[in-house]
Amino acid sequence: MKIHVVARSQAHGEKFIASHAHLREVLEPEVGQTSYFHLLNRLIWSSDEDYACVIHDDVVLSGNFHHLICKLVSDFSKSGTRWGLVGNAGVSTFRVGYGGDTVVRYLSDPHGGANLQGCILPVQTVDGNVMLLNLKALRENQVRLPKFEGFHFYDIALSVESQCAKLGVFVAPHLACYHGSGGDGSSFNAAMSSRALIDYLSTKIRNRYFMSLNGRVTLPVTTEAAAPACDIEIASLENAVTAANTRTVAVVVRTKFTRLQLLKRTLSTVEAFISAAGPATNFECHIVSTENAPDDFILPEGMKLKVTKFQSASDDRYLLVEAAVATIDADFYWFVDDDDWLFPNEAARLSAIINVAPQNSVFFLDCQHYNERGLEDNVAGFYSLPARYFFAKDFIHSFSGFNFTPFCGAIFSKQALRNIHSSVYHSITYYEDFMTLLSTLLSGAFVPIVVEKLYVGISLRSTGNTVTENDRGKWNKSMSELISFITNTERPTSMLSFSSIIASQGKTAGVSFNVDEVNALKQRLELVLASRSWRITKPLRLVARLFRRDTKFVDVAQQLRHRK
Amino acid sequence: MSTAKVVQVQCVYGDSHIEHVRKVLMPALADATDSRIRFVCTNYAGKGRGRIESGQLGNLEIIDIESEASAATGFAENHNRLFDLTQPDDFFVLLNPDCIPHKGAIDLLIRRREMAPDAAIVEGRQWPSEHPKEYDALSLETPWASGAFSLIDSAFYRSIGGMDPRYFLYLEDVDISWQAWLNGYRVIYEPASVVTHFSGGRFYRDDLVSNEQFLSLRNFLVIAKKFFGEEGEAEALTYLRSFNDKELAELAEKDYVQRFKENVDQRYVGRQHPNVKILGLNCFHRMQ
Repeated sequence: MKIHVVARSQAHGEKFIASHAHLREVLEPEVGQTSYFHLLNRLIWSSDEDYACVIHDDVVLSGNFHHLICKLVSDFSKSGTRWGLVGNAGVSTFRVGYGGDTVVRYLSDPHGGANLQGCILPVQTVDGNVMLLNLKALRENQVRLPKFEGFHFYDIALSVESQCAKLGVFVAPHLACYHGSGGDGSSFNAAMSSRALIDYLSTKIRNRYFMSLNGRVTLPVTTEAAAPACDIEIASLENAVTAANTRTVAVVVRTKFTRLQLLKRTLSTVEAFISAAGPATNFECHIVSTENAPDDFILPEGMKLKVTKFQSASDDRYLLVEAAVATIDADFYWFVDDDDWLFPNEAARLSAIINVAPQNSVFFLDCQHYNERGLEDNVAGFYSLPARYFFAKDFIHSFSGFNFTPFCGAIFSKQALRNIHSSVYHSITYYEDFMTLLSTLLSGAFVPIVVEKLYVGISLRSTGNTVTENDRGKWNKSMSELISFITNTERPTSMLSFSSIIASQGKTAGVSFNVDEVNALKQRLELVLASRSWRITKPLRLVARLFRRDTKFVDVAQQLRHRK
Repeated sequence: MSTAKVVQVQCVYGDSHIEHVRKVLMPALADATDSRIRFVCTNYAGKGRGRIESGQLGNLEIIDIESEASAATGFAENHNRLFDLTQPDDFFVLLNPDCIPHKGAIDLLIRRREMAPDAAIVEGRQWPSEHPKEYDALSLETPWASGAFSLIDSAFYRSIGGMDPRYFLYLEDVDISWQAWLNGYRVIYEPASVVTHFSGGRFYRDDLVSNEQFLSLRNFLVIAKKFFGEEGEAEALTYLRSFNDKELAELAEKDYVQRFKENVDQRYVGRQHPNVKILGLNCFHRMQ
């Protein structure tokens, strides 16, 4: 495979070759170019090669660079990945890593260094300092760049063309290098003012804007009906999905079968989610319990029930997690309580992300509390008011000592859950979410992937939620066990020392502090119910219910008789 | 509870809804009423697209009617066609394909209608996000009913020629509700009848223009002119031009001027009813 060096002059080209003597045989200087667009089109349509690497003349390549890019091409072929373009820096559709950034960098330049290790990830666009092109696939899919002049936006154009041709665009550490230039913001802005560029991009993608490494690219509004089909955000995921990477996620619902209507609500939304997820990831619903299902409970089609009995366990919620991992064969596990529900709106996005993410990922999702009022034997009559919103990207703040990620807001791998010693599952009852999260993050072995869409509604009611319990004794006991476990671990790292940095960012109210919010709401409700105006207006409310025929005279009379 | 023998439920779906309709919506529908159900549906995307298999599923008779159009057709056009081909006797139920009706939900709509025979439309409540629009706590009257889950009187529907297809998507439900009020009917809200509806509001992306965003703005001009004439159109344009997304507003206005301005049916102009009102941009009700 040739490495095409786009040299500003003959002298620059010769200097590059001289400084990369180990690559002399594969270097191809491209001197006298007036347009990167023309060069790329020539390579795609006139070259004999199936693959090519195109680089700036101010990059410095490592000794094993050629070996790495050849290996990458080989690995892509073996995995059946459809790809068009790879770079060493790009903008992802999801956030990655402890820093939770959408920009992935595998290079050193005046802006900084690398921010990730080892992951090949799909991106929307790449930076053009080093690009690996699948010329064969680009040709076969009729990819042609516009006939523009100059040396800006060619990388964005090629990324967009690749996405529209349904060829994946990736960043890979194999292309890591040093790049001596930090780019030129004013040149970017000048190019952005090009009407030709805007018109071109508008014919390709439907987005009003997208983020590139140089800044935001804004396009005119078009209606859904008139817009091109390609949504660059979703295309970057779908183009990277491969059948070989189809993983299984067990959606595990822990239950005691004591609130059947709520459980049925949960299960119907899990079914809706699975229906919407598509084939990129295999989602399965598993119900786990220590109790046998009641006779009138009908297990929905396709769902599985696993009953495990524990000896003398006072609170077995975490034991059920351990049992689920031991008995359910899946790559990932997503624990959803039997009174919560899933939102299916962005199921396909999550499904694609799980497919394209590294195997050793941990996924963080947005979720939200809902204050619910109603009778548990009439769940259809519930009114659910949105309350506190848990942002997936706040997971890192859990290093502060307060948990910011509800259990349902994370999807853990089998290995992450197996890493937790059995004694931990036996000792911790409450804070099982925090324990699992810290165990996963502190190991450093799992890549955080943040999906900033709402996936779970968490039910909060006046009774039936541990988070609203006034007696904090069980919480405090679990916290003491948790602290002891994580600080006395057999495989310590220094990652907990990030807590001082995280704490200095000011977020202090973790998941468990919502009890204050709920108690405040309860107090206000109690004030209203005890108020004189509420008592005075009671007969009027009764008349309204009679008028609407929601109650009958005979029932009212009976109530009055009992009151006497 | 219900005395109806067969309840017709109409559903217009797209390719992305098929799995949900098959695996979630239809099984839930069987529990939504004690009556037998005739589930009449069609794919709005056009001829040759994915379909729901017609047949029998418990107490559900499924009738999937293939579209004859070569391209996507709108909400009203499809429901009108389903109605015209099946002619439901007394009433029928509109149900969006992304909904999950709760147990007894349809029987509760039917019961409410039996108690309010002058109601042209009875709307059910959406969960988890109830629409914040007003309804009278005593009479349950509401200015307009959402087309996501409503029971509609067949005679009324027939008398007005069905929903107005010019909207394509969005505001047909406001339009048909206003027609109900202006023709002497009532529009009722039944909060006890509940459907799970994961509506898109909180999931809209600001880097894309959704059908709802664009069409709602454009159709706002159409409905304003249709019911309030030139004066209504002028007021609606004032609201639209103050919208913070100027680019989208201009696009909506341009589309309205090019395609609708000169051919909006104005037979309702001059007729008034307290529940037929515009309080702001796409605001036809007080917030509750």
